[in-house]
Amino acid sequence: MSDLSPDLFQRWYHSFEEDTDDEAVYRPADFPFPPRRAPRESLEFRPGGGYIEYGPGPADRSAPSRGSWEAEQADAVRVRAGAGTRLLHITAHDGQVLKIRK
Amino acid sequence: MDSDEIIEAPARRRCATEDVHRRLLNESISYRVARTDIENLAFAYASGEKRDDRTEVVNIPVVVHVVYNTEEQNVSREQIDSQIAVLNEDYRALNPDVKDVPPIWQGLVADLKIEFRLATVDPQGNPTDGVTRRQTTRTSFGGNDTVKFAATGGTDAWPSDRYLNMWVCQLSAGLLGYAQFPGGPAETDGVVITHTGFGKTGTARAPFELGRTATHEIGHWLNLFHIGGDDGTGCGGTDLVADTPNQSDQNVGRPKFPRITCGNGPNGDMFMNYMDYVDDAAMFMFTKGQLERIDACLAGPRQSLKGIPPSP
Repeated sequence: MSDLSPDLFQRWYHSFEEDTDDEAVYRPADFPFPPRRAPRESLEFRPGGGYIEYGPGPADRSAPSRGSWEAEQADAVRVRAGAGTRLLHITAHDGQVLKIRK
Repeated sequence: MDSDEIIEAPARRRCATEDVHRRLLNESISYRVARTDIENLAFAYASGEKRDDRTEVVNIPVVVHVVYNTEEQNVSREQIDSQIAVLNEDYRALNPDVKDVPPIWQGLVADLKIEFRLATVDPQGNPTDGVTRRQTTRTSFGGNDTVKFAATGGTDAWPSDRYLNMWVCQLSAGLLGYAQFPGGPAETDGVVITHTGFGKTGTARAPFELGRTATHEIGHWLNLFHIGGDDGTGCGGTDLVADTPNQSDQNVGRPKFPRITCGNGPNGDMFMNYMDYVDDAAMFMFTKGQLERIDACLAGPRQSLKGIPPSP
């Protein structure tokens, strides 16, 4: 993939209840998630190469880790955030769901 | 800062943006300095160098900012009153379920000697019922403080040196609530609770229907940390409170006693502490060590809230 589809440019929250053995499922913020005290892990692709990963913060909202994304071959996107870099294999997506191979 | 908002540096000079950017940078620096002072004072209390044998009850005026999109989210006065009543039980150890604290920890249960009342005087000195209501076009709010500003669809804070600001709205992504530690900007100081986790009646829904989300968030507002130590599943993190056992991650649901992690047997995690992540029905205690941190907070960053007479 040379660039990302525009519908990916939003913040995606881990809908872990929907995960399968092979795929992690992410949903937009307005998805009717069951409530919980911990903020859901989330990730955000921004146009132009910006990427943010959000983990749990100490006051019950997310703590961001800022980085970048770079499209690679086929379904792969290399993302960098915090200290790490990893390759995400996007197996399906539209405006309402994002699936990433585990 | 403990914010989930990413502030982009301006690519080129646009004075308003640049001004905002500089303000946030400066606040971030002053926040770090303030946090260091606050934690040094908390350490002095925890180590016994300072102590505060406070006998008087601190009365905290509360303003509830109801920010609603649908009529259902416009929570009733009854629902608000039920929330205040829960706080006045939990912060005085008067909650009936405190009897369920395991016997080994009964001696650690603390009466925090804090009571909450809806404000009766607004910042301009006029009579108020302590509740503001605003209908918004936003269908939900994230953890980025937009609910705290009229300009972004929410309601502006009342002065945080005199009031506890409690925003009630529809939070997105399933979030129950979030808080701001002492030492941060006054305009965002307070707690935010999603309406389905607020109070004990109306739109409150199980398993978060007993008003404990606000108990937990106000704990942060008074400088308490999670008892899991905020290091994920690690055993090295700490809440800087000596009498809460070291534990691994935060617990969820309704654990069975004892739950052993990080070699903390035989009694295990104090998962019934309000600063864990369990269901409302499963949390019912603060400890004496947590009271010391709160006393330090009330002697330091939130000292302006002491000495306010109880409202009639």
